[in-house]
Amino acid sequence: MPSGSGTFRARIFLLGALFLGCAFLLVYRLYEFQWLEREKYREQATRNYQRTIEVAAQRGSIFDTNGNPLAVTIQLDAVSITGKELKEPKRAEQTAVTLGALLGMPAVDVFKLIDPERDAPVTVKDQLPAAVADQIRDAIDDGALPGVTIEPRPVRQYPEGPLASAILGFLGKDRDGLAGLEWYFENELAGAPGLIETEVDTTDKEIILARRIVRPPHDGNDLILTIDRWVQRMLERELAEAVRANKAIGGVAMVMDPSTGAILGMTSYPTYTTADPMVFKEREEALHKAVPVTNQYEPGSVMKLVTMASALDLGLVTPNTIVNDSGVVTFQNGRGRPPTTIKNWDFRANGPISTTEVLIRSSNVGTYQVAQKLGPGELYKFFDLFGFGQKTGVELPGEVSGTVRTPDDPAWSVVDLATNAFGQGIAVTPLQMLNAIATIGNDGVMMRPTIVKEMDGPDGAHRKEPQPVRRVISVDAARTLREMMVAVYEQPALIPNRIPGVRVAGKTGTADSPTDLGYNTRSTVASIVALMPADKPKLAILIRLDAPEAMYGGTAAAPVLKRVGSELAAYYRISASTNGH
Amino acid sequence: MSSIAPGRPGSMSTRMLAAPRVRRPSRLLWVFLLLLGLAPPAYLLQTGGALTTGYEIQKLERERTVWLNRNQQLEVEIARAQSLAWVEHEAVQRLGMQRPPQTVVVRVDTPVPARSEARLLRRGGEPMPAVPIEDGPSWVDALDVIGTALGLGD
Repeated sequence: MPSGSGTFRARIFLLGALFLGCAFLLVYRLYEFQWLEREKYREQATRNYQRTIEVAAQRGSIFDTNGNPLAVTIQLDAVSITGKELKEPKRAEQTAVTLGALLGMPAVDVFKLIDPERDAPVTVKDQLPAAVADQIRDAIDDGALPGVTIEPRPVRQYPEGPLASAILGFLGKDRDGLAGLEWYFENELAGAPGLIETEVDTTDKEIILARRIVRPPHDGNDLILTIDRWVQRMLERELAEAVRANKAIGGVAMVMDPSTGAILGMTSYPTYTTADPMVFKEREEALHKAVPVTNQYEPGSVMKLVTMASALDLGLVTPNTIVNDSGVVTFQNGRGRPPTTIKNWDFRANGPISTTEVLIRSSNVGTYQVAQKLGPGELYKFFDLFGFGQKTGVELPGEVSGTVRTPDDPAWSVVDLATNAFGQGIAVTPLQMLNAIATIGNDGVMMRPTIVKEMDGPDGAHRKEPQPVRRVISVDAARTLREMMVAVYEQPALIPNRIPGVRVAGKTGTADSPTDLGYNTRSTVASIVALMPADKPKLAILIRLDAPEAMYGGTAAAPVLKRVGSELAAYYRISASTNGH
Repeated sequence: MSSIAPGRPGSMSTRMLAAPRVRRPSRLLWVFLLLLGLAPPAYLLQTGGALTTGYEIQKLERERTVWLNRNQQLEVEIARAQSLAWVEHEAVQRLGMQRPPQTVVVRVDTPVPARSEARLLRRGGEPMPAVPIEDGPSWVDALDVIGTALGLGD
């Protein structure tokens, strides 16, 4: 018995020791979990039940000057499917059939998207019509569509279709602006997303009472442009028609209010369209920019206005000052190099003519005579004052400053003085040229060109006031030049292109296209600029056609101005009564 | 026959009578126990109610969002229907209108009406009247006019 009792005790002791050991281990593990690795497990636990939801900010809209929406973001429903929730093939099949019927898609196509191993939802279809979205939502609520979720996603919409695409720009897949105003004002339009912290239960469903707003979303600002949708549409239509009719390779058309610098319409051709869902195409990359500020060209005879304005401002000429147009000017280029000859565009000598006639006949030689009176110092000073060789500061991406070679440049020669005076050998952007013409229309005061009238956001509205840049020429010089421009526009050759009921100040321009081997006289840039009504201009207009069949500004661009000007006169109610007559 | 001997003080029967009685719990205790018993179900009821309300709120919020989104979609549809492209399309395709070959300018000596700001889509998706409401005479003014006509005015 004693021995049996000893064994029993030993067993009890062993069992006790085992239990004690286990208890110790358990206590140690507890200590380990609760104390030594508490941070790690706390983090894991938090991750298990806590969720952070980013609340997207509403992207600002873009409106035209009258408040018509050009680009807006709305929420459209997208339906997704989570394969992991449909592991049973029969269930997956049934879901595919039901969803396919609702979406008008073959069930096979839906079924292909169900991957039982994938726990991330796959988008089946987005931008759903409201009625379809409602049906799917009801089916989900009834439990007929397991694994299917429907959620709204922001989509940029363009109610006016492709209107002003090159100005507005477009968004990428991540909804960031990639071109135009969408890119330039990305920070202002996008806003800042908000943040919500919440908790979920074991089935990963949100416990609604645990919601906590960490940071509310800050919506983006709306942009109200100076662009008028009617003007823009008319310009786009007329330019496209003009390019086709003239068999040109492209063109630019712009309208500005000279008193404020507000751009009322601006287009180039060819262009792209935001109405296309795949708006970005690599082969069309060159089009994804605001051509009127990113491309430079030699303006040709339109530049004679700037030369004449400078001479008028300095009192070196009057509209009746006589210059001798011999039809040709020859410059010696030094030993061994052939001389450079400058001729009039029609190869004719006009003889002694007034400065007004210099503009009417678009005399290169006559303009050179005026430039000679100015001298390089004054001419380039005025080029600078008119803003050539500088960016205008308009709110569009990729603006270039143009190319002006001054006497400080070692390659400059007196030939440049002559050619620059009539718009060759100098490159400007269409906007620079229009702004210079608008300056003449605004009695000599240059305004900063602008395309944004107002920015309206959660923090209030910020209206952009017109900004005068500087006085470039005197009031008298500007008014005198406008009268000379009226004489240009009313010359007999342009009678068919007169705008009925409106007194217009204008000037045509034709520039040979520069190539690597010199100028191509068979390919021209034909343009025309105008101020209307001439006495107190409300509108400054620029029309440019690249390589038109008719070649000259007077024959290719002037008819376009007539159509555009007539439409604008009717729209803005410009008539003889507003001419001051 | 038995007889019962007169009891002495401290005898058994007296002791029995004097034995400590089982004290009935006081009413306060009953109330306390009742409250204690009711606390968990009350808590559950309250939490359940709050949760139900929370989910109800969430559902309503979701519904509100759906309607707000629908409202925005309709506003875009309206804007699209008012777009120049659509107006021209309807004019040409449905009404058979044509662009005039030439614009005729007729001078009319009437003041030019100001263009109304017709901003349809505003921030927050709240609609804005496309046509500004004009401040016409109210019914009070109309009554006043009638009153004056009938000689009821002061």
